[in-house]
Parts: sequence; C-alpha cells; structure tokens
Amino acid sequence: MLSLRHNPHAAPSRWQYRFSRFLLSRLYWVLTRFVAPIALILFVVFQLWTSQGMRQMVADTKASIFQKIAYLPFFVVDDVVISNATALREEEIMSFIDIQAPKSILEFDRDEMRKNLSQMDAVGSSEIRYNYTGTMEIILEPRIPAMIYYDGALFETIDESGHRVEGLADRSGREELFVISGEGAKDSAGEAMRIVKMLNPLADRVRGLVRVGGRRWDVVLTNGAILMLPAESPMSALQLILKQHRTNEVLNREIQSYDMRIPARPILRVSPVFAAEIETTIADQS
Amino acid sequence: MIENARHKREMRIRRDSVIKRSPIVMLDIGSSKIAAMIVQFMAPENMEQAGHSFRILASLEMVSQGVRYGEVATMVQFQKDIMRILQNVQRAAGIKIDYAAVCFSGGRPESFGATGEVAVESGEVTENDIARAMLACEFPILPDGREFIHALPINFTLDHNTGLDDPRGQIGARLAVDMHLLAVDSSTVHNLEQAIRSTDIELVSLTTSPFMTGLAVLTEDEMKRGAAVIDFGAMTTSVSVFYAGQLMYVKNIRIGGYHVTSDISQALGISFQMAERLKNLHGGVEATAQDDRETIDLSDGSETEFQERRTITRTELIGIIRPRLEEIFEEVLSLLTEAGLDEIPSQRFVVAGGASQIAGLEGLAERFLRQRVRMGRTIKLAGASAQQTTAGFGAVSGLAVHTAKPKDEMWDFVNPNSGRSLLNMRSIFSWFKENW
Repeated sequence: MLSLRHNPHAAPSRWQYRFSRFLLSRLYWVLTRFVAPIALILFVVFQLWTSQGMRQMVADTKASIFQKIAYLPFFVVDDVVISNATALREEEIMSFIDIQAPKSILEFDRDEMRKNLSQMDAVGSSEIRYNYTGTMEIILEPRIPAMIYYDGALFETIDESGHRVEGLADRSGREELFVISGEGAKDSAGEAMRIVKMLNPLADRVRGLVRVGGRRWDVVLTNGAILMLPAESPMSALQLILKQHRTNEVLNREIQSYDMRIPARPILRVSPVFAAEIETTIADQS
Repeated sequence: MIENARHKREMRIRRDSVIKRSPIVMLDIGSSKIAAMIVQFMAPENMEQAGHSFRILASLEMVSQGVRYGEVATMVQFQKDIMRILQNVQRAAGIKIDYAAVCFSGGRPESFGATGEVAVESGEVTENDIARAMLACEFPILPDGREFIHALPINFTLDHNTGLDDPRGQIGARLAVDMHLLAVDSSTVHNLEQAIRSTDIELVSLTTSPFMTGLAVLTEDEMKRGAAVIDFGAMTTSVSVFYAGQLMYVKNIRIGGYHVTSDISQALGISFQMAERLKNLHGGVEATAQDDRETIDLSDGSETEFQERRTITRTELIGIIRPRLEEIFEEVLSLLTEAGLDEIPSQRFVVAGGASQIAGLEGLAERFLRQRVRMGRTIKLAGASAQQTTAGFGAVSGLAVHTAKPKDEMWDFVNPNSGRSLLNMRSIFSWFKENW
C-alpha cells in the first residue's frame, strides 16, 4: 500500500475550487495577458495626457533637449553671406533674417526664408546653404527682366513668366525690351515672349504688344501698323503674316493693320494715300 | 436497459466530440487513494507520427478519505477529496479541464453472459444487424438498484464461423453475438456521477477499474491467449479475466491491503499509520532464518524512558501479514473456479494494484495458483515517468488507453432513438414512392 496517509493540501471549498479553475481558464489568460496591460497603459497615458503639469514638463524637457542639441558648435550660425545681391537688397534680406546673436541653424525656418525671398520681386530663385562651420550662405538667382509692362500710367519690367521685377519711371534705359499692355497681358507674358521671338527678324520694329479683351494679341509695329492675331493659335497666324512679308514685303508697305483675327479671312487695311495709289495703278493697267 | 443505454450513448458521443480538442482527466477512485492523470489525446493522423495515442500532461495521487470498498461512503468527504485532487492536478498541468473519465473498483461487479441470434437482413452484415442481434439477447433481469455498466460484444458468430471480432461487411445468413454484461450497484454509479457533477466537470466515460488495470498491464499476446489480472486494492481485490482480446469476467472480494494493515495495527497494538509504515518497509510473505534475527523497532516516540523499547522480529510481522494474504488468495482461487476459467488454455496470472507491492507476493501467488505469476507494470504508456508506471497508476493508465480507443459496447450499435428516426426515413421514402 502507498504511503499516502499524509495530507499535503487542504481540501478547497466549492468556491475556492471554482476560483482556481477560473485562474486556469482561457478567459483569465486573455484578461491578464492582454486586456489588463492594455487597459493599464491606456489609463496611465490618458492620466498623463490630461494633467497640465505633466504636459508642461514634457514641453520643457523637449525644449531643453532641443536647445542642447541645437547649440552644438557646428549648428551655430554666426555669419551670413549673401551672394548675387545688390547692397540695397542685402539690407532688405538681413532685416528679415533676424540674426543679431549667433543662432542655431535648426532654429531657422528655411522654407519660410525661401518664401520670403521669393516674394521679393527682383529675386528669381534662392538657395540657402549651411556648411556646418558657422557660415550660412544665401545664393540668390536674380529675376531677369524680359519685357516691360505698361498699365496706362506706370512702367515696370517683368520676367518671362510675367512676374514683376522692378518699377520704371519711364522707358528710357530699357529700350531693348519690348512693351506689353492691356487687360491680362501679364498672365500671358509667355505667349508674348514667343510671338516676339518668332518676329525676331523684325524685332526692332516691334513697339509693343497689346492684349485685347484678355484673350488675343495685337502686335503694334513702329510704323503704327497693327498685326491683329487670333485668340486660337496666334503663332500659325503670325507665320502666315511673316510668309506674306517674305514674299510681298507686306510690312514694309503703308499698311494700317493686318487683321488675322479670322485666319481664313485675312484683311489688310492700307493708308488712304496708298489706297488711292493702288486704285490709280489698277486704273492705269486697265 | 434502454434508458441506461441512452445515458451511456450520450457519454460516448461526448467522448467522441471532445477527445480531439481538449485534454481529459482520468480518475481512478480507490479506497485509499485517488489517482488522476491529465491526458491530451492525439488526432489519428498525428498518432502515426508520434507512435502513441496520447500525451500525459500531469499526474497525481492523493489520499481518499470518503471512499470505502471502492464506493462513496461519505459524500461530503468524497467531494472534498475529488475537488482537492482535481484542483491540484489542473494546477500541475496549468490548464482548466472540463471532461473526466472515471473508473472505480466497488459496486460489487457481477458478470453475465448473454447470446442473441438473428437472420442477416441484406446478406451483408450491417451495424443494424449487429444491433438487432444484441437486442435479441436474453438479458438477465437485474434486481432493483443494479445496472449494467458494460455490455461488451465479445464474440460474433456468422453462420458456422465463430471467433469474429467484427463481422461488419461480411456475407452470411445468421448472425449470433455473445455478450459480456457487467452489472454494478446503481447507487455507486449515481454517487460518483453526482460528485463529479459538483466539480463542474462532465463525464465522458465511467467504467470499472479491474478492467482498466487489465488494459494497462497485459500485453496484447496475454490478452489474446488468456490471462487473469488480480488487482490488489486497499479494500477490494478484483479479478478480471481476458481472453481473445476481450474482457470475460470481473469480480471482486472485499478484502485488501487495508485489512493487512489493520491486522498489524491490532496485533501489535500500534497506530494505523505506524502499521502502514511497518508493512511498507518490512512487510513480506516468506520468513527466512535471517528474518528471525532482524528486529524492528516499534517505538513511536510516545514511550517514556523507563518503558522497555518494544521490538519484534520480521518473522513475527510476516506471521501477521501472511494469513490475510492467504485468505485473499483462497478467495480469489474460489472466484476463478466458480467462474469456470479452467477452460482458458493459457493461464497467465498478473498481479497488480497498490497492495501488490508487498515483497514476495508473487511467490505466494504462484504457490496458490499453481501457475507462473507476473508482477503487473504499466506497459502501454509511452513517455510516462517512472512514477507514472507504478502500481498505483495502473488503472488510470488503462483508462487513458481505453479512452483513446474504447472497446465496442452495445450502445455503440443500438441507438435508443433510432426507432423514431427510422420511422421518419421510411415515411419519407413511402411519400416519395407514392408521389412520383
């Protein structure tokens, strides 16, 4: 017989037994291994999140850590070099760079700076470089004036995209640039540029371009003749005019306007003197 | 019979449905101890690979105080015992167990034979034919308070072909079945069921421990050619006889190791615990000359220094133990003769059970039974620790083997509800015939 007379464990009560079975059950396992820890973490996080002091502390700590890192020697900017800028602009730029004392490169908002720079009319694009030795370099790409915009009162130079470069008192000094004018002329500056390029052999005879009704161009020549281009595909219409010019030297004649608003129906208006001359010639021939 | 079969069939269906998904606790309710073993059964496909059908997750033996003669004597105490061992074994395994297979040794098991014969309906033997053959058996009328715990088909005869294990699918005209019916006290069964129910655990099997011990300790060969297992329990000594792979006979006598201890305690005037210790440490059955010189100290620390220290020789102790064991063997022998087991060709005897560990017991057994006697050790337990193959775990091991692959029982074939469903099928068929 077995030596099992000793009683190593007291008998459990019904409820103790049930509880011990509950401790072994799957439900309890899931509760303790998953539900309870997750709930606890959520609770703690929520408590910390809602307490003002804790948020303040987190913010302070974050700031102090940032300060420590940002003012490591190689992050500190103590000199700013601006290239490709006139003295006036340099002053203007330094005014919003705000660097009285050495400042960390991490504290500069380069996107903001670039935005500010690009809002300056004369600045085309800009690049901000930092070489980690204390010198920040701002490289400016100046906006190149391509034409002059005249709004009826004031002149200003604009670039190919129609963006203002600088205001002018009058046209003097900028005779090499042609003038555009009219409603919506600035927005279609690119098209004006292409038209002038196409007119290249006669470029010196172009006085300016006038945007009519915000949809089409009139090219005004130095002799007062007006080339009326259509809204749709003005380039091909222009090409037709140039073709006529090459064969018949149309533009050298005393014409008042060359109407290509409907390309299939070109209308050439000549001066009354020239018209009379033509009539006499026709009468003579007949 | 039918009511009982319905209940048994429910348990079997439950066993089939839970065996793959959850571990089951095996319980052997003994008079001195309860053994529990949590077993995870494997799916048949994994069985091939692993080479065994189950894995032991935990096992435990604990003292049983509410059971006498293998029957519940004190319900409250028994419930405490069962809750204690279930709580501890579940803790040891680290999982909650919801199903139990239980075996017990008491309830005065009694074996009956019965034979039934029917004509095979369709030429080929079907389960339905087997069921009808079983129902054709002349069941013994049981007195009130007795019920069948097992109804095992042990032999099928198809025409003149006998000794069939499984006649399903064979061609024949007349099918006869020999049944082994095992009856026990209903109160024992109901008390056990009640106690198990109170622990929130569902039963998947309820059987008798001599049968289970036999399954655990006998080799396949012994079971086929015939063998008797003598299971020495604390208060009952059970005999189970196997032949042709089937259980043939179960009976027990209500004397066991407890009575040996009690004899020692009375004869020497010492406490029960002390007597138990003497039996375990110095007990034996054959006195030799050396045993006359070997003295055993009986002091238990309560004597004063003026009292003489009490000692006995080992011969004296053997003299107390032996008559009781002889009595047991005489009873066993008369049981075997009464059952008519002389007819079994091979008469192997295997001694098992907790009380079989008394030194030299097999020698005494051989003298009485005039046969070679083998000490039963659990053999069908792959991956078991040494502790799990001791005599005390024989029945639970057998229970695990049995639960893994239960023997066919009558209620596997006879469906108490089948009458109604068959009627339904027939009415559906006739409806089709009439309307199409």
